[in-house]
Amino acid sequence: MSIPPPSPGRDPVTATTGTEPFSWVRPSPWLRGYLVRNFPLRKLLPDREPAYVSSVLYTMGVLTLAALIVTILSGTVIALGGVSFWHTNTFGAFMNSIHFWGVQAMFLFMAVHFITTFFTMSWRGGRGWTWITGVLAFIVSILTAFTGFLMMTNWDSQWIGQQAKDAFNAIGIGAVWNVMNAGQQFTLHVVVTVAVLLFIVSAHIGLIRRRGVAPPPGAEALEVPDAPAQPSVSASNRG
Amino acid sequence: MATPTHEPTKARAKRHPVATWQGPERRFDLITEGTVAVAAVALLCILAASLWGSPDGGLTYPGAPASPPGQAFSARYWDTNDPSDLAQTAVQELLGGSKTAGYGPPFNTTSGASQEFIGIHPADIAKSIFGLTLPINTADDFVLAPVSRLVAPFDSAVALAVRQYKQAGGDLSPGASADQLASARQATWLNNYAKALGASGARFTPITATVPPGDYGPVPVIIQAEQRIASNGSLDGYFQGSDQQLTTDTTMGTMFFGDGTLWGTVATAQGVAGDQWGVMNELWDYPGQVWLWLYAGMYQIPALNPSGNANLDLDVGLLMILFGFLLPMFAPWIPGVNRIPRWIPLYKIIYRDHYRSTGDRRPPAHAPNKPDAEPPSHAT
Repeated sequence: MSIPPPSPGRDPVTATTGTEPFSWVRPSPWLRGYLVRNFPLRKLLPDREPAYVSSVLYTMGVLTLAALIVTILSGTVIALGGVSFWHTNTFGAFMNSIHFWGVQAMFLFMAVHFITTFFTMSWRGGRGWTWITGVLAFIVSILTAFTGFLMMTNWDSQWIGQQAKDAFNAIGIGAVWNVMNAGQQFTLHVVVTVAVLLFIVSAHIGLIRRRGVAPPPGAEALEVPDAPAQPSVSASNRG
Repeated sequence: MATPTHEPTKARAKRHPVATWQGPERRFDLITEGTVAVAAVALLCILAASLWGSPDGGLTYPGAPASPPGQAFSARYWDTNDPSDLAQTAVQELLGGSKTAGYGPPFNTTSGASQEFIGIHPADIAKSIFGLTLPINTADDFVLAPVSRLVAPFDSAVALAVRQYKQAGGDLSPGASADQLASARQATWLNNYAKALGASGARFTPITATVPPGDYGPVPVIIQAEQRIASNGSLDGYFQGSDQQLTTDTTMGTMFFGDGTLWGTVATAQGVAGDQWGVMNELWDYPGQVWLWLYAGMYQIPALNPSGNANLDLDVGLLMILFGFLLPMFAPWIPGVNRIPRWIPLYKIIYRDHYRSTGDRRPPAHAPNKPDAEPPSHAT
């Protein structure tokens, strides 16, 4: 069996119970308690998992994350050389190819992950935000890939931008997001959308680690919430 | 093991955010699994990159000259390979007859051009909030200004032609409406010249357009000056330049190129045109943005009348918000949609080992009164 949850009370490392009240002027005790309560290390770094997770379908999430890491690493190398050096540099072209196939792999794994989690109803058991962050990650991934295709500085990116502008303009977004502006797409791609994506993916993974994956339908009773922490009278006085 | 049953959770708001699985477990290690996954995917991508590379094909179409990898479309390429198309497009830019001239917001104030849905024009609403953010006067920005700046100072005939043309009227203010770009007199010259350029007797080189004599005013001199700066590449420099800074904004050139026909010819030859599922494709047989299948597919739906629907882009955009964003986002809470996994119980196959090991080959029926999904709530 897994490591038993700690008994209610003060965490020996952080000296928190998880019931610290929020304070605008001294939020640290609350945040420490929140993190201890929601993301204990036994959940963040587990060495056991439910037996039903033993399926190739359950590797799609980690493979998606792995493809994201490969894509970011290869993209970082390309970024070091500049926005267009890969057109004429053999090494740059190879890194661009890894970047390209990393994106393809990521979306392939993500699509299977998406379909699998839908048909296993992975939102059950209080996992609604896990589902929402997953869909948000999918959508922001599309925007990230889209801006990447728009900043390739070749005919391909010219064409995609010229075609995509119509939908953007029709719904009004085009007034501030000009998909034919290669410079804007570059900064969006390497800074904004990737940062948003990493934030959402981090939240998604954190939620998964906190709750674990949803049990098979009908086996929900085998998933037992940890005992609620006992409010401490002196919690607000500890720092 | 007794068949587990679903117990409605009491006091959900007070439930501890961490739950522990009490059923059968197996050993694994998160760090090990993640490391192996990254290594495996990296090897997979390196293998694919080695075998197939990635698309960076340049400009290709039947009869096109060899194109180096990554070549972008330019006015120089356009004029070199289809001077007739460039010359005729430039005339339409002066006349206000191009797609860009009649586009409306955010490029110009052409009325009635923005797309609508039940009387709402999102592009006009954005214009009222942000203003005309990308003003383009096709006559001035695409033809008269570059010719005036790049040729007129060194060619008195061109300077005279530009002066004569401007004296005939027309609105050269940024973002002017298409119907204001040319005066009646200018429109007469331009229509006559456009007709002559389109006639079978017209002859073109990258720096000349030869037509029979006619009432064209100064237009032929201006258009041939436009051809000259397109041919020597300075028009591309003009589009890429800026009055004060270096720029990475390629909007001006892209809009001008998109008004021609060679632009679409290249796209069709490479399989990326709108009726070929457009932006979800990549060059030739490479996978592209396959994940845009829903967006690209909506442009093919007969009910939307793709060929005759003036509001098609807005319709597709709204449908994408509905089906591409809201539907998947809230699928667990949409009645019917959240029952699909019950109607198509693939989970019985996915969890077959679990159900077999628990001694119950038929998974328990779901509690009929218990919704599959609970509303999302912040962690307690």
